[in-house]
Amino acid sequence: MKFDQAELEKMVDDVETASEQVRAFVAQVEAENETLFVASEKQIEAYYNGITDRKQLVKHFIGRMVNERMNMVELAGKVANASPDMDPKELQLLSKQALDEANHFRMVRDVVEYLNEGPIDLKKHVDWEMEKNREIRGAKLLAKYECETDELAMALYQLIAEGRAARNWAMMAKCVTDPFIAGTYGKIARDEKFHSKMGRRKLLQICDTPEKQARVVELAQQMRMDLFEVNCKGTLELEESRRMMEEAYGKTTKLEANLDTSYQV
Amino acid sequence: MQNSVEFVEKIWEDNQVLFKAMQMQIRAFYDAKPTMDKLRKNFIRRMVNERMNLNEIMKSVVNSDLDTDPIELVSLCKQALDEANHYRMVRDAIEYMTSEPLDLADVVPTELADLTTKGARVAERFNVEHDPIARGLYQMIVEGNASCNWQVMADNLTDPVLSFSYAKIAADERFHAKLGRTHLAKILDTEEKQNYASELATKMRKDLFNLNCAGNIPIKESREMIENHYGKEWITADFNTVALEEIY
Repeated sequence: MKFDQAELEKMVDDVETASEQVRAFVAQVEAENETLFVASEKQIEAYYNGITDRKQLVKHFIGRMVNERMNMVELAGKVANASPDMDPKELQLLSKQALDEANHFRMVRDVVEYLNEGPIDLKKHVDWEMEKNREIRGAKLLAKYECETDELAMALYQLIAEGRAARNWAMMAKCVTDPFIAGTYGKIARDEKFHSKMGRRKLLQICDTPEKQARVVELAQQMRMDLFEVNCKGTLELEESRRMMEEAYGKTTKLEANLDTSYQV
Repeated sequence: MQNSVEFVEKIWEDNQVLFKAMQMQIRAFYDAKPTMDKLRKNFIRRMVNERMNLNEIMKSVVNSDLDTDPIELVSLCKQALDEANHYRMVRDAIEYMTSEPLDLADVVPTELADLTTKGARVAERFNVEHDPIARGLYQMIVEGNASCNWQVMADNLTDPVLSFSYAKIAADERFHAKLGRTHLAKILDTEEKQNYASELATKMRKDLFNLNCAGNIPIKESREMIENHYGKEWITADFNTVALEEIY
């Protein structure tokens, strides 16, 4: 009865009860995320290749840092309000994810301070991001899809949003040449991949009726579109990526709001 | 004003008599050879207490100030994960001991409604989720006490699976108490805060002792230890105490 990362890894890979049909369905949902992931990677690559100003990078990472904090708070809220009969394994996994998000918040703060060559005013930046930009951050989708009370939406968020985050952080690790930052972001990418597996585990457990599967298909479509628009605002608008998205998922709708990064660093 | 590190150490030292008195009561409970049903109920109570701890810590994370140091948040989330692990471990221990699955939907709500026997209630009562001093004291006193309690259980249980699990929980709780001490040493930097912490620590210890008496066997010698150290007026609740010679 010892719980470490290896035990938790085993837990997420271990869903023996899912039928072949359910396994095939979840695999299909995963496969259909691929276009979103590739479109996002292309945007990240183009964005990083275009960065010439260190301050732009600092502000970009501040946004990502606060997004990790938002994820942590949402996860902690979900655990705090979990139903009394929630499986203890489920609580362990969600708590592990909250801990990972807290660690990512700290790690990205360290990267920001490293780039900034000195401490940042954490309160000022978190305040700013929460007030001006929270509506167009990926973590906002946790609230939008009511993941705190909707286990299916939560599992899907983990599969898609955390899966996309894994690919994005890995791409960032590839694009930044600094070894400290690349190492940090490589680690974050691995954690996000684990969170995505948690989502797959849950979907394998609960997507056992045609109604639930239909809902997954509908929500996944919306979530992919939302995440793409978040990526456009957080990095850059890339015509190639938008075209890929529309070919795979249908017409996209650009978000009206823009990031406000007019503060000083 | 006292140096904050020394101040925290003094509070920690002042907990020790309380911790010893409560350990005696827990040992007495086990040495009185409880029936399987009593043991099961005792473990269920402890299991749900871990879950309540988990909830309280996560609420602290949710309500943390925007400028809370990320390292502090990592520590809190680590503690929350430990509490989630403990919840699972005690559930597994109960199922191992009784050889039957535990119906959480049945037992958890009933236990959550019980206000008299769980240390985690102290967190609610002292508004730990919004008060960083109360939270640090809670970690130091309640979790520090929990580490002693789990260790007594680990020492007394003869089954190696149960004993090993509970020793692991005890080690985690020691770590949480240390987190509280570190946190308090950072923030108790004015006389007002130290006075407030002293006052709160006394109230917390009293509550904790009452909870411990309600959940175990109130021992006459424990009561005497408490009265000798903290004062006659310290214990207000009326418990029918049992002398140690009646058990041993």
